[in-house]
Order: sequence, then C-alpha cells, then structure tokens
Amino acid sequence: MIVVGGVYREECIRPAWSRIFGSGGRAAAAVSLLSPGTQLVAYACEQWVEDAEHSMAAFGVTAEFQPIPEDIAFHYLHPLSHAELTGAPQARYGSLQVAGDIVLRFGFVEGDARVDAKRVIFDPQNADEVLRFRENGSNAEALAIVLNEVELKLALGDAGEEGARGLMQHSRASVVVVKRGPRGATVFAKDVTAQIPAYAANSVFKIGSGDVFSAIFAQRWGEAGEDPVIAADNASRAVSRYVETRNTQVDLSQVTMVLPRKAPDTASMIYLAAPFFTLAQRWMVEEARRCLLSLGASVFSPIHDVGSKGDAEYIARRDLDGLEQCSVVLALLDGEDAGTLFEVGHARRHGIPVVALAESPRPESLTMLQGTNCTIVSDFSTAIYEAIWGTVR
Amino acid sequence: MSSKQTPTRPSSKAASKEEATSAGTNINACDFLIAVDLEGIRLPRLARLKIGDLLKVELRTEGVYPTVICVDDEGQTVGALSAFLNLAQLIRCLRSGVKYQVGITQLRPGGCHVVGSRVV
Repeated sequence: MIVVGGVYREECIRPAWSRIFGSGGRAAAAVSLLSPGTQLVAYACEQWVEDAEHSMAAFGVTAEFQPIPEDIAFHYLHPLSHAELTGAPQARYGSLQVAGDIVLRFGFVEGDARVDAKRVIFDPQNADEVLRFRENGSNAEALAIVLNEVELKLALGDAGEEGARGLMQHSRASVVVVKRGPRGATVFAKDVTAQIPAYAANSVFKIGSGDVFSAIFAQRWGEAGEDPVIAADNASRAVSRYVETRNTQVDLSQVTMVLPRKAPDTASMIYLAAPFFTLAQRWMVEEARRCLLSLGASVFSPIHDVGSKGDAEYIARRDLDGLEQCSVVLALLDGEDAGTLFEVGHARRHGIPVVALAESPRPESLTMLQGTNCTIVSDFSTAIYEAIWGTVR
Repeated sequence: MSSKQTPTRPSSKAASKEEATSAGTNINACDFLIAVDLEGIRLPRLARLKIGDLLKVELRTEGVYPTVICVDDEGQTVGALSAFLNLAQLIRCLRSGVKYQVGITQLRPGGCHVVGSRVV
C-alpha cells in the first residue's frame, strides 16, 4: 500500500507530546504491521527529514520525501483544542505523483498529490479539499472518501445521508465514510447505510485518531478487500486501541475483544459543574463547553444558562433544577470548589452519573467521589468523551 | 525491577545540522532529552514494569536503517523509540558509543511514556 500525506511536527502541551507524524506518517506507521512494505510519499522539512526517514524505517515503512525548507507544525494546548498551524508556505508546492494498486491520499498543508490507482482512499483533511479529489487529475477505479462530519457539513451543507450521497455522486466515489467522534462513524455505499460504533477506551488521546481510522479503513477495504462496513468497524476498533495506548502500529488481534460503546444521546443534557470565579476557571468552563458542543453534545452550563445575577436562593434553585434535567454531570474538580462538590453530591443523590476531571487532586479529596461511583479521570479530553458517552440512557 | 528515580536533563532543543554531523567529537551534540511514548510495545514485558523503572537504550542494526529500542533489566525489548526530533542524532551518538537510558514516567494499558538522556 502507498500512503501519500503530510509529515509534520506535532506539539501538545497537556499531555506533553512532541512527535514527527502528520497524517501521512501516522497512517503509514499504523498500517505497517498489516501491510508490510508500505510506502510513504510526502514532503518533509529539510531540518528534520533525516529524523523522519529513521522514524518511518523503525516501522518498516519505506519513505520517499521531497525536502522543503518549511518546518510545518501543529500546536495543541490539549488534544481537543484548536490546532495552531505554523510554518505553512505561502504558496503550495507542485503535486507529488503517485501510481499504484492501493493508495491512501491525504490532503496537504503545503502541496497536493496526484494519484492514479485501482483503489484510492481519500481523506481530504480540510473542508476545502472535500470535493477536489479528481480536480488535479487524480484517478481511481474505485474511490472511498473518509472524512469527518464537520468537513462534510461545510462542503456539502449536510453531514447526513444527503451530504454523503451528494459527495458520492460528485466525486464518483463508491464509498463515503463519515467519522463522528464519540458517536463512531457512518458508512455510505451503494444501497447501504450503516452505523459503526465507537469502541470502549479507558482514556482518549485524540491527536491523530482520525488518521488511524483512515489508515485501517484503507488497508482493510483497499488492500484486504473487506466489505466497507466491516473495514470501518475494524478501523473504529483500531482507533479505540490507539487513543488508549497511543501505540501507532495497529495489531488487529488486539482489538477483537474491545466492546462497542452505545450511541450517545445528543439530546440528553450534560451539566457542566465548575467554578467560574477567576479567568482560569472561566476559561476551563468555556473550553469544556466548546468541546462538548463541537462533539454534538447538549450542555447545561450554570454560568451560561442561569448566570450569576440574583440572590443565592434563586441561583441555587435554577442551577439544581437544571442539574436534575441532565443525564450526566461533568465536574471540573481542581480547586475543590464548594459549589461544584455540592452539585456532585446532589447529582449522586438523584442517581445522575458524574464524570469528574481531577488533574491534580489531593488523594484524600476524592474519597466521597470514589465512594459514590463517580468516574474520576485525570485528563481533559478523556473527561469530555466520558461525559458524552455518559449520556447513553 | 529497579525503582531508581527517572533521570532528567534540561535540554530539549533539536540539534542543529552542524551539531548533528559532529557526534563523537562534540560531546554536547549527544546531550539532549528524550521524552516520548514507546512504539511497538511488547505487552508481556510492559506488564512487568512500573513507573520509575529504567530502560537501556540500544541500537538494533538490521537492514539499511537501524532501530532504537529500549530494553529492560533482563535484556528484553520493551519497545522502540521513533518519530521525534533528534532521532537521527541519537542513532549517531549511540553508534559513537554514547550510552542512554530512559525512565518510565507514565504507564497505561498497552502503552508507556519514557523520559531520559545520556548516561554520564
């Protein structure tokens, strides 16, 4: 299999992460056990192209890099934050040319790839690229497009059946797979629409999870000849393993036993329990709310939905009325705010599950939460996903 | 297993091209921090480890490109170091005889993070 896609630096502050992957590099590494002899074609920064060559070789991947001066990097504060892109060139480089039997093509920051293959899997990486597979002269006897629902919505105006079928028709694709984060994925093929679940993971490291999905789908559908629904199911299983372990190479024998998550109920509300009295606290509330909403969740946030004006009795009543309408509480625990802990206790008294984010807790402060079966996690993106998965009724 | 403290080093900057060509002659070119998740984890070996355990960094030379691996106190491979700035320089330094070790700083089911540097 040939992978043609970006190789970039990736930096994350929390959790700390400093790697050379990018979609192309990660995908090639991900399939390297399943597809020995995988080739990667990409541009790479001349300052670290040698690091990239050795990195790919460690996975058994043969890399063909076109060196460029730009040091392209994606910077994350946390895995669900908006990535800051640095080092992108002002103009795109000329297209890379790839021909083969099975090709996985990603959209690039710095250039493009013209591919000609029997089976092509195209992950555009950007809404602007969604409709452009054939625009640069690329050709595929059979084409599958794998993209996320935001890209599909922006490109086609609809992230459901209508958008996917429109994309299939426009691009002459036989398969479209829409990745939906905590809700898994949807496969659209001729006469087929199938929901693929997300699979259970004890923690969620989100950077690169979409690349792993596309890679495994490409290998299973493109190379192994699996039905697209089965290929997407294998891809979703592989993602659950990746986000939990951060091991890039996928061994499908390790994902046979993972359990599917029931689909979250997007209409069920998540109560965001947190202090908001300092800029840092308020920023956390805004960030958690943004992430939940961007992943399709419904959120009740006391500061947004009730506010801080009015006497204590009024605010408490309105907050607790809101809480009782929610199916799960996401509590930001650091600082042990009295109001947040009260809300946690109130939720448990009413049988409402609680996901508690405690990055730096005093061990003794968690006793009551542990004793009332709260889910306690130490990283932000896992807390967001657990809260969404907690909306299952 | 050993429960020694994880080694720490201040520098995390990528080596410049000039430094990168001088392994063996410029001692500072080999003095950098390694902080990365292990790849290609051997699960049975991982299961024996705990946070703070030290792993030796070794070069495995098969084929055109060598691989940098981490081995436990029984000499068994736990996983590989890959996909980070300074990997090529690390390989050059290992080839020139510089020794490195890493300590386990995070353990997850099926994965781990290591931090380390050269052994003085």
